[in-house]
Amino acid sequence: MKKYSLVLLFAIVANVVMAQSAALLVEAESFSDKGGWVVDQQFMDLMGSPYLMAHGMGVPVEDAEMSIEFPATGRYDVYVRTFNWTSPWYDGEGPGKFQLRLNGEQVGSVLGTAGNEWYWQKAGTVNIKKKNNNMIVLRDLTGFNGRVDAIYFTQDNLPPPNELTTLGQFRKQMLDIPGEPRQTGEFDLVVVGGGVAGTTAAISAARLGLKVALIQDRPVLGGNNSSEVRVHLGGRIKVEPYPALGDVVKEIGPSRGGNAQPAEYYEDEKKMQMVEAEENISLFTNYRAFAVKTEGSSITEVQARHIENSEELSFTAPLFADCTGDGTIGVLAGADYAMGRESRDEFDEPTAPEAPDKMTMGASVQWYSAEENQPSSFPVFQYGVEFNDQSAKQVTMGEWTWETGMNYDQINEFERIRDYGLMVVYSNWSWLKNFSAEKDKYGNRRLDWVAYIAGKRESRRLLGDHILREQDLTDFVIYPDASAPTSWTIDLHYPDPKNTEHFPENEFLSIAVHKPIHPYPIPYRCLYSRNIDNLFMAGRNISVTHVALGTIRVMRTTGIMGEVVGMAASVAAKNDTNPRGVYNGHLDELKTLMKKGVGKYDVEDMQNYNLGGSLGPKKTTIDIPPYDKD
Amino acid sequence: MIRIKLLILSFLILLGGSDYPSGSPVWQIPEKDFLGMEGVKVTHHLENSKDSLSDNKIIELQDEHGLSIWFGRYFFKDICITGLCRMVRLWIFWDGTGNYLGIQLDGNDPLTKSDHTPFSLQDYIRLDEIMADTVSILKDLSYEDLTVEEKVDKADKGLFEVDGYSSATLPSLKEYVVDDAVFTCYTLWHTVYGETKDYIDDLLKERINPEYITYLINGNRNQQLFALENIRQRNNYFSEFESRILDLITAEDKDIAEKAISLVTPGYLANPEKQAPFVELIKNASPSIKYEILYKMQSVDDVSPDAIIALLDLFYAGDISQGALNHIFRIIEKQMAANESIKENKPIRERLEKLASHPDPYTARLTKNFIESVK
Repeated sequence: MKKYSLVLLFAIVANVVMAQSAALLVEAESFSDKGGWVVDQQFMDLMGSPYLMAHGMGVPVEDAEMSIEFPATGRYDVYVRTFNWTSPWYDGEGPGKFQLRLNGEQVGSVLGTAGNEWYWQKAGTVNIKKKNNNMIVLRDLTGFNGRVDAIYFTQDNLPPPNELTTLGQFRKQMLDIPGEPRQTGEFDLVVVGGGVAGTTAAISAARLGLKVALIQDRPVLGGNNSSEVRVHLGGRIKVEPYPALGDVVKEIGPSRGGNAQPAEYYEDEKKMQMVEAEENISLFTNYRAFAVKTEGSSITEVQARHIENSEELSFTAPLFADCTGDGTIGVLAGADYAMGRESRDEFDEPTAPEAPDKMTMGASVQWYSAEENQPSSFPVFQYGVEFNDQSAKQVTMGEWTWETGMNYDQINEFERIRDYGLMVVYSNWSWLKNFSAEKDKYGNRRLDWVAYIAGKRESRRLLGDHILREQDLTDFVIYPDASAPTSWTIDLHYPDPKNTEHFPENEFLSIAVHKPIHPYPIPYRCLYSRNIDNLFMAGRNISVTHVALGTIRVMRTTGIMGEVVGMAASVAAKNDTNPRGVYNGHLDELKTLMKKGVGKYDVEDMQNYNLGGSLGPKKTTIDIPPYDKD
Repeated sequence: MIRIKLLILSFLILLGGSDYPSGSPVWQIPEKDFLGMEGVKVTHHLENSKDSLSDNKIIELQDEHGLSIWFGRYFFKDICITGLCRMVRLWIFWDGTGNYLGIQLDGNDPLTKSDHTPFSLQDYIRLDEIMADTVSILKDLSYEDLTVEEKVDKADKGLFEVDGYSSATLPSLKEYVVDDAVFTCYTLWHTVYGETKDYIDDLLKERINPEYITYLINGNRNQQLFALENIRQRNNYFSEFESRILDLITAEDKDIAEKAISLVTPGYLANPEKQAPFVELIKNASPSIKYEILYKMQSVDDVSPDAIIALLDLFYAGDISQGALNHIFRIIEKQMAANESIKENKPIRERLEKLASHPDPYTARLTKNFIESVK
């Protein structure tokens, strides 16, 4: 086996070395002019790279183009890494059609129509007559999410490797990426994930004097509350026992509520500017963390890669916060985690199923249409999910209920989950526009926005010294380390039974089942890892059961968690200890900070939308039991 | 559509006379003796009423100007619980703008619960709150929905067992009704918001004219809301009441302020002379209305320099918080992109430069970035 591996490695290295003299790898996401194509980094851990996607909602997008330089003139075989994204549901040609063009000529055949998974498709051959100023173009033909990872020109007629590890090595060699990431300097706290929780964690820590790195894998902050996903904030701020928690949420939060509203509702620029106004924060947008280094049970370094130019950076600090939503940093470091539903016996939760399973809440692909002054057409889109007037949803927009993937793995099958979300939006809309008995109603409506960044609700949950469970919430069990208050109901989603009638096992609509609670302060011990000594968590990936996740996952609550994590990090830094050390020896300092809050600006409280239907404050003050560690 | 016929039966008759059952009111909700109030009584006849049991007369009490104080109707209602029906007799009142006002019961006829015990005072207060809720969950339920819980086999409930979302179950209805009186609540709510209210609404619509609106818009809260709603329905009234509508945008009452600002259209704000005074309302407006003003200005195609200057001055004076600065810049950015003269406007530039050196880092940085982005 060892011998075989060595031979294989030699073959790969030889291939790369040979290729280097007469080969060129072009990463699609690095195109200097992306036209109407978008960079999608969501699945780079699964398929190896960010990619470009033609997200035109049925209308071909503008060309992406770039001038490239070849190592030598001559004849090249061309390979394009792509696949047919509808292949899980449809055997024929896929809708994501595009062309590769070079110096004004089409290269080979139409691409994007074949392949059940990401692979190097032979596009054709080209004859290069000049080394410089060769214009390469990606031309979308349909507007239906054709996708390109990379383009490879070779004179050896050998496609690059497709296996992820060897492909990763191949990319580094071909793109001349340094073996070691560039050091970014020393920080007191590295926050990974710039959703609402990560943003508030960074601001909170920075305001308390810590030097913070905030790493976000998109160009905007806010995660599910950004204009890319468009879920509004939910839950309450100003809740006992710490009404000052939420002051940062108030500062960065959009002034208007509503899911699937126009982009400006989500005020991306406000979140960005609030972060940029903090001199202690170094913001790294468009970087996705992909590796960690550890010593013993502590993280020493996080490595992140730019989603467009592949630059790799290294971040070191004594403290880290995993606000990725997927628990990515924790899992890379070996943190204990859970995913799916616990059995009823495991935590004695009445709402839990009798047997454990892998079911999660799904991810939403939200969308809306706009009324035009004249008729607007939409292509027939039929790729394996068939609609009729009984099964089609007669709607002009879809918000959180357009939820998919509850029976699939929200990490390893996430591209399929997102793609199914796109598939049903297009298929349903195609039915309404082209075939429905009510199609006249939709004649002037145009599909105006469909999310391509899916709004994920549930993923891995990193386990802390306390795992919040249903009875803590329903029995109002207040712990000495009570901290961020959660105020939403226990809101768990399931496939909509009516949708199941038409699409069994392939539902795309959900229902919410609510169990009211009184606003409840989450124990601080849910906000740090039980086995990675210097790792905090904030967001949906904190230490809770599946049932308890139902309440803590809304974004005013995750924002409050972030504030607490920032405060706890400052206490840890001041006392040269770790997250558990704060609990064991400095809880009073944390409580003092939570009472005071880290609000900085005198802004009006516009956070009065989507407060949720909990039972309201049980008491005007909540008595926190004294902490006695003996 | 119910056909109506208006009969004015009498003038200046003191209420409590013999035209309607006197009874001896024991419960008046809220505690106000509507039948004892003075005014001019007008009787309307509801023809083709679907409610054949109840009196088909709607009594209107008018003041000395002929404006409605209330409308009332005497009902005979069968309220049925598990097949047993009991007749209830009561008055229901609506105010002069058609909103639910109260219920008055005959002395010997208290409302009862499913176990036949009479309502307590707390129950009547709760009932009054439920009747005042125009969007009650009861609105979309049918009589059959109230008993769904009894029909569902518990073994079949599955994931709906803890369902507060599935509204068609008795437990989930509890917070919306008087305990053990779901049928009474349901019957009365649909009576309050049934054909009588439709009749009153139609009647009031017919009476709308500028004189009437003038009276109402200076009246009490409900009258102001009613007036604003009717202005909304008649676009040509806006200019006549413009000044009063702008006043009401800064009203303390949230509903009135929101209703008033909803009347301000893009067409109105297209007039540059209207923009700065509109923006100046921010000074005395509630926080949410301040934002509404900013949202409205964001949708204006051509914002005047005066309005932009007013916005910047209001921000500098603290009348607009830092949380809304990005909204101000959205307005200015759009104008600068479309109009070079706005970009070069000296007073605007001076104010931006002043903000760029603001002591607060957020304001200063945001302004610097903004200036850089629009260069």
